[in-house]
Amino acid sequence: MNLTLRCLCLGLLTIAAALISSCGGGGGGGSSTPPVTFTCTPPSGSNSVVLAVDAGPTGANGAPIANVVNQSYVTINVYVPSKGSCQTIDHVWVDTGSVGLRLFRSAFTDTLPLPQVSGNAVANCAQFVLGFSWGAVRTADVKIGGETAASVPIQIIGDTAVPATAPASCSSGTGGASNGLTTAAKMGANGMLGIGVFRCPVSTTPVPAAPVRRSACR
Amino acid sequence: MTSIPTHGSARSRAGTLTGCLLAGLLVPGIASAALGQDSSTVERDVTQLRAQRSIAQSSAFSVHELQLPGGTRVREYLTAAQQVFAVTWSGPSIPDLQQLLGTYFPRFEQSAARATGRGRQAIRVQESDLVIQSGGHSRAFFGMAYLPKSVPTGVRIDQIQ
Repeated sequence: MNLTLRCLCLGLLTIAAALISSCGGGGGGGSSTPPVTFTCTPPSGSNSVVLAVDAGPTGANGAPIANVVNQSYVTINVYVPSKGSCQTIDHVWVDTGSVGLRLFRSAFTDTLPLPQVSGNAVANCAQFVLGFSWGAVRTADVKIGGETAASVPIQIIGDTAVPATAPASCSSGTGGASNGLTTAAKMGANGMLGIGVFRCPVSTTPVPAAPVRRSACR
Repeated sequence: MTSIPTHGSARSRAGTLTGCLLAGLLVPGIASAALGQDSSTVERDVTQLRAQRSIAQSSAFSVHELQLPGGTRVREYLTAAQQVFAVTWSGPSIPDLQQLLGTYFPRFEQSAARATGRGRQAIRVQESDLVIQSGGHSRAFFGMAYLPKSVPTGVRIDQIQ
């Protein structure tokens, strides 16, 4: 399949512009199929961001590290206090089913200067139907589009501040420890942005309190 | 419906504080699991999962319902001979399936390894002696596992919920 970069122009973010080869163009696949043209008008405003659908993050050789299809990504910025600037992290998977921002340690080009939530390292384990994410919780200023959320807790997957192995009580139900979303290649993204549009779809009873899946590690 | 028993919450907090220790304890071999085993393994599940249990009896089988501290409900179905022939789960988190599936867990793990749907693909095992289905999304998971050859005569699969 021709993985021509398509863009769903939900907005225009200067920093993310390099991610998108063109806006308003696009290509179709096979030789007998006429090209499909996408036309879009980017909305303006600080609360919008480009949503990209492409082959996912690339490695040092420029080739995709995972064969990803039909996955949408955004580019975000995380403020790194020691550098006094933001680091741009591309290919963050937009997930409608979860809540919160999870980023791989490998996506950071510098040390992780983000302060811990508290004195002890706090680890979080998030379950998905297939696979889990496990890592330390840190606080960070996160900028998406033109807006910044200050001091929000985020998860750093692969953070050595916490044990490398997730508790079996979390990992086993999602397919076991060996099937976790433990690397960017396995996730097909440099992180995950859960925008949480779901509520329980089949019940009118209140949504149960979120399960506590945090561990304090000494 | 989803209120959490007081003493269960207290133990949950204690468990949270020692999460890393617990992670070390929940290793294969220490705790036998339920599917295919006798009712004594249900007792161990109640302990390991820090659950509250209620039991319902019908003519063909009994249902041991386990309410977990995080709000997830587990049901274990036992034959008249006290063998667990099915397990179901529903709730905001997926229970420890290594615990509940026991010797069948590796086949669940192998099925997951073959799947490619990063995060959101349902996991299925569909074989003559074992059926497992796991699905849902964050905060609303559900699933079931049963042994087709052990289902009591006259019991329909849709009675396992």
